[in-house]
Amino acid sequence: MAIVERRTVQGQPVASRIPAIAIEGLTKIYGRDLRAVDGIHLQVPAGQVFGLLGPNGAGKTTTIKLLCGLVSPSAGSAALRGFDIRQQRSSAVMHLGAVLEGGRNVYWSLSAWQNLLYFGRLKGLSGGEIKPRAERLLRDLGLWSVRHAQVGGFSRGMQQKVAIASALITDPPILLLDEPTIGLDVEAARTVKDWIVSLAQEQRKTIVLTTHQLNLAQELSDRVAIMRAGRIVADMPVLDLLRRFKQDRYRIVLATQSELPGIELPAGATVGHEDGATVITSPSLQSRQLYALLARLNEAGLPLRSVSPVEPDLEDVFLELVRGGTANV
Amino acid sequence: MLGNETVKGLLVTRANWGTLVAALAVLVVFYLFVQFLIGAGRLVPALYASTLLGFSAYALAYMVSLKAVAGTLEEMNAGTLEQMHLSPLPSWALSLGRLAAAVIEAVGLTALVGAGLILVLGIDISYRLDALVPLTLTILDVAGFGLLLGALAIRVASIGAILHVMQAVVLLLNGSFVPVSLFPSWLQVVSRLLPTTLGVEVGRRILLQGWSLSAVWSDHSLLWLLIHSSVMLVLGALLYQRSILRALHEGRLGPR
Repeated sequence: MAIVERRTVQGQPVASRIPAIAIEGLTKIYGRDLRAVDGIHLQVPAGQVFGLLGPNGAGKTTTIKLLCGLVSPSAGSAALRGFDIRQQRSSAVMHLGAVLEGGRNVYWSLSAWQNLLYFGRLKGLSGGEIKPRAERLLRDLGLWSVRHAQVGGFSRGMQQKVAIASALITDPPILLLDEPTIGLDVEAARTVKDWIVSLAQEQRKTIVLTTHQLNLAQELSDRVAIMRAGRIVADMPVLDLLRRFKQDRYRIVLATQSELPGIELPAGATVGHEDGATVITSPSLQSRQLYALLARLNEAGLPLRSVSPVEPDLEDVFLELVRGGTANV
Repeated sequence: MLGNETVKGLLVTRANWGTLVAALAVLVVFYLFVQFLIGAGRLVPALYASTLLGFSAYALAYMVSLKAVAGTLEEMNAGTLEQMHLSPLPSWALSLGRLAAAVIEAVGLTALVGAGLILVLGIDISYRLDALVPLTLTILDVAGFGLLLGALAIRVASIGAILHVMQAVVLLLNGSFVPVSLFPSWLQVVSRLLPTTLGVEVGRRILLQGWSLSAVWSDHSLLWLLIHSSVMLVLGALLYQRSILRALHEGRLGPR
């Protein structure tokens, strides 16, 4: 793929028009027939935060490693800013920083400063280029005062920050984060999350994020893809996905605490109590069914406080998709 | 690249200096212990120089192979080997850098142990520049040995047992403490297939018996060392690179 070699189109570099990440029919088969990734197609535009979700074994990590060139595809291709990760590997990886799941990613017996110098030089930067970047990163992450201490002595959150800083030492436009908050306590996870937001909003990095924490994905991602058995079963902006899966479910609050004796509720409705009120959460209802229910409650003399639609969250969508209840969207 | 890897290797070693000091102390004590054994309960100064050459070659092979295996496994499990391969450099250059760092470190530490023993025991060796040729070839031989074991480390789960067996075989058969010429002829052949054996033989001829380079070339011992080192290095490099590429293909370069 020589798109970037073409100089300009109407005065603009062609490179700025191509997607940050382009995946075409990417497939990875382990052994004879284990399809870890099964012919996926994706395009992630520059500056987008893209959440890649799925249950264990769905193929998320393999996809990330395929994008890094750490796993060879069985078929298909992946390109970073137009550079094919197999054919133009050295150019492609220069646009990439990655924090991979399951490992430390940095040397725990070295200091944060030494790690940044090492990884910067590994990517071809000179000491003069690395030092100001390293200082800025360590200051931004609150690690400057401990830059000469061994990373092994840091808290898990600080270690993860060093890993992210190392991935960013070349200031790559694309950042792949595989489970970046796994194993972190609440405070450390919050710090990492804030940092991701800052990278996306202030530095306009393209970020691909895999996580099991659906609230994190919902909060950070502009767009999510959900993988199941190596395939992408949903791929769209978060809000569109939630809208698509929105069901006509309702939350009906009664101003009194009652066990609703003799009231016929729709199948699947749940009843709970909150602060002296009764809360009925209905399954998906047509308007006619909703009004019928409200009429029955009124006839029983139960005072109605509010009726509101239940907004689905990403977890609802995720569960529906990974359980195979819905065709690809 | 080589400088970056070497500096990192030395920094990691320095960070684990306690382990390093213990390992060096064990090597020194082990050398002295074997001296007692072959001296039937006493130290025999006449054997020092000859055994030190063999033992130093063993120590070099020990450290390079340990670094190649344990270092590779540790980097795989830590995920740093994968991070290393996110470099724009080709994987063979990364492997070369790692190897160079391991060899430089091992040569330095071996020199430290050897110099310490020479000073403490007052070992008399006539230093000759001619010895640099077999020394260099032995280092390359050991580097090839390290690459072979490193290649196995990437592919074989039980590499720890294989490493210990190989290190013990080198120590027992490279002529450190028992001259190879005393072995049965079939065992002599086996021992000369191992790394360091030919280097120790050529080194002893030059440093202890005063042979010239042309003399060790004429009796073919230097030629055999050259062939052995070349084959070992090329074979090790090819297999190591093949293991890396296969691991990349199978996605097994990361934590197991």
